[in-house]
Amino acid sequence: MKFEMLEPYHRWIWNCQSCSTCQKGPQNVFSPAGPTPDRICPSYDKYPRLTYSAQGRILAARAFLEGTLEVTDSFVASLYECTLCGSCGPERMGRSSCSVHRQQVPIFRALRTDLVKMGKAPTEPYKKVAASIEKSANRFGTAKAKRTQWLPEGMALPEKAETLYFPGCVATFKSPEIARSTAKLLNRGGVEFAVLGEEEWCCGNPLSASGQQDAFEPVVQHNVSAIMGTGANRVMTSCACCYNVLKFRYPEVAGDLDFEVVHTTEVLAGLIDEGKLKPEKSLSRTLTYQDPCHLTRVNAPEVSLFEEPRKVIQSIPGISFTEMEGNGMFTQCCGRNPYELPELSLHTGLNRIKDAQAAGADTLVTSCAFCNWSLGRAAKSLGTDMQVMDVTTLLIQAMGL
Amino acid sequence: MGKGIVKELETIVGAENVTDEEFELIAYSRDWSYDGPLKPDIIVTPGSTEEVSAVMKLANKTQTPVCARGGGTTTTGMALPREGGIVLDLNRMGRIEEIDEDAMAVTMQAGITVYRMIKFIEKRGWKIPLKPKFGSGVSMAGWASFNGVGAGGSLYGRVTDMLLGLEVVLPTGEIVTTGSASFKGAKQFCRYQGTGPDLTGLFLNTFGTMGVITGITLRVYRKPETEGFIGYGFETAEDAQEGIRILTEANISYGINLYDEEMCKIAGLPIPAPWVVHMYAEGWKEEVDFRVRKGRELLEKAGIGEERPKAIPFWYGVEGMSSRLIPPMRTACVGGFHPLGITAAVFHAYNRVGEEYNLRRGMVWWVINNYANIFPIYVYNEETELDVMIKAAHDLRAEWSDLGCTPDFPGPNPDITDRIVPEYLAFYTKVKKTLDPNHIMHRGMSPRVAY
Repeated sequence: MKFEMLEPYHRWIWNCQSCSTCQKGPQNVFSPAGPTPDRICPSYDKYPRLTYSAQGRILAARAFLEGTLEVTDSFVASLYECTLCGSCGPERMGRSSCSVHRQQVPIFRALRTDLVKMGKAPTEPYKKVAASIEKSANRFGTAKAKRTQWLPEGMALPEKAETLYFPGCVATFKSPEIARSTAKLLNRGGVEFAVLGEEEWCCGNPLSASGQQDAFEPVVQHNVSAIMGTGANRVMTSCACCYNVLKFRYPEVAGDLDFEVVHTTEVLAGLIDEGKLKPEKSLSRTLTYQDPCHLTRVNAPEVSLFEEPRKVIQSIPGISFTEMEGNGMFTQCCGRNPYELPELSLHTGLNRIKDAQAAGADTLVTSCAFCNWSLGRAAKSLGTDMQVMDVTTLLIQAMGL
Repeated sequence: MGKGIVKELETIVGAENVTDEEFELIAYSRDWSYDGPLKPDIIVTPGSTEEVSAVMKLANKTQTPVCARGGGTTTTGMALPREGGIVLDLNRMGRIEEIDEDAMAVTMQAGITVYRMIKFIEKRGWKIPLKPKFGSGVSMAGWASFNGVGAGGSLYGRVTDMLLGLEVVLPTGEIVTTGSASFKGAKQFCRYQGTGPDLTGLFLNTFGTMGVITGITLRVYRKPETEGFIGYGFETAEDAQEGIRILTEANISYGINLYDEEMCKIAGLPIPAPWVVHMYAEGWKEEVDFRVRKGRELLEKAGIGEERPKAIPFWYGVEGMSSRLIPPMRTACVGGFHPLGITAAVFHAYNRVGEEYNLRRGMVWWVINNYANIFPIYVYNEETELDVMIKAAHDLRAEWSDLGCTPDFPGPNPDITDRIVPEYLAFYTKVKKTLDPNHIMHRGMSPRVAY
């Protein structure tokens, strides 16, 4: 068996010192940076054995490279019980506290890619999502013709514009209020934008994350070509996963992009700064904010979006804002994959709802359609009054739109 | 190992808490040391003391080796199963049982991490006197069983000096509580009392060779009003030795540590001098002001060092020591204890061995009451220098033993059995055989006992 994708990570894999830092927190409680959250790895929190931590997975990767371990179905299942949230390799005080130096997520993606090439992976739910994408260009298998059903009534969009809005599958089909709110806010802020409509394919994140590289590459080529066709120089996403994959994974396939990838919150924060959006309606809520992992920790630190979403939220009169334990680089995963990892996602989402409750919040705001889905599901399961909403739907309320 | 024992273990702890799958065994085949890979045959993750007891009874009956594991952060391979058998992963047992403010004591399941426990009590205005610096996974069971240290050691000693009692499962499966709770009707509030000798000590510094620690009660202290800190730089090891001797003898500090320049580099600390001594003070403001002033006065009077305002406390600078290194370079640590008076000699031996084997190195000491705990770091490439590093570690241990040092951990590697006084070894053997008649616990650890 050849592990061609994994092999380049050899030195990082060998450098794992089995120090246990990737399993549970807090880290050094005496650091001037303060204590980190008690939970580190969602997978280890749900299944408390080393196998379900970065350390265990890296030791398995090493054994594969050494030729001392055979791939089994149960190993594959355990490898995919990971949301790739990157919590196993955060940086604090400007550097990683782990000798694998934030290479965990790339290592797991590489291993998954090798296993897919060998025909040993992915797991069934990921295969089904891939089949849906192949058939209907979205993760839900919904007809392509419904791609623009979210558009607000009467809103006409140009075919070409400098800004292209890429709502993604979840904000399109699962939570269309997010896409609708975003469109209304852009409109109110005077931002002309286009959408790809039926030519918008799934961003490909489920394919990239699960190692289905051969299926991912045509998706990238299609979307890049479609985006270029609109003349856009800026692509704006609603979903942190779309943002991450467009910004960082697409160039790996398509080379340097001729457009910038931004997140909704960056644009909205800018419009608020410029006075083009003025939320004037007071909302009497105690809010907390879920930093999506793929807007923060999983990205390079210099492109992590901490301030923009908070700026949008705190521009709203009447609200009381509180932080949860675990935010910014130390944010805790929402669960991310309600379909692919239903049990892990629910367990992780429930933990986060409890964090929001502990912070005294009545509303949990996020800026990722996936987080909104996963956390909403967890809140419903818990039967709590906690309201989960996207930052755009919150802002719409405050704008009275 | 037969499937029969797996089935029996599943009956005890539930099928989801037992595995013998190869990839899972590999996940447990290494710890933070340079040792391994050493795989167990079965992994068991019990959720209660009763489950640990049932597992131990079964293991004793079937003479199956058992290796208890917390965070796996030992530096000399003590969390690794040297003859297969069961690895007992205690990480599910992480509950704080009680914080008894009247007794000023906190009782917990032993699988809780040290930092999680500290965070819990600090939120309630309490603290333990030590400020340890290690990875987030270190468990209380592990920390107690290797009798760990941290800032605060020069005044308070080591973790077991603040330990009031234990709950332990013996190798034969009986559950025993030591400390004041060994007396009917009494809670855990003091360690030494009229029920006989200090049997708590039987399980400390043992790394599980005498039983499985499942519960711990620690003395807690109110958080101090303030803390103070000074850093002094020295030009030679001899001057630095004199500096820590002066501060220790004056009995004014809460914690003292010493580093060489190279350690500062490895740990990411400022490098204000070839040798740096830190002194910590804590307490009421007037008291801390006095202690810090007195420390300065004494060192100034001795005329051997200079204050270095750029120095920062140890735990501020280090955030994962190995993460400072460029892969595939990593660190190994072979620690020990020694009287303060041979500090410079201990360093020179370490430096000589490092030079001989051409290993990058750095050293840090904690002062513990009247003696020093050394943490020497060798930096090595695991793929090309592992053998060299192991030879260096053996040579270093031998040189230090000749100087009068003792090892800090009774680990398997290097084996220190032949350095133990025979009468003591015979006494230890008697105790070990009484507690663990079938030699199932942590086989291969020093001191090695012939069964």
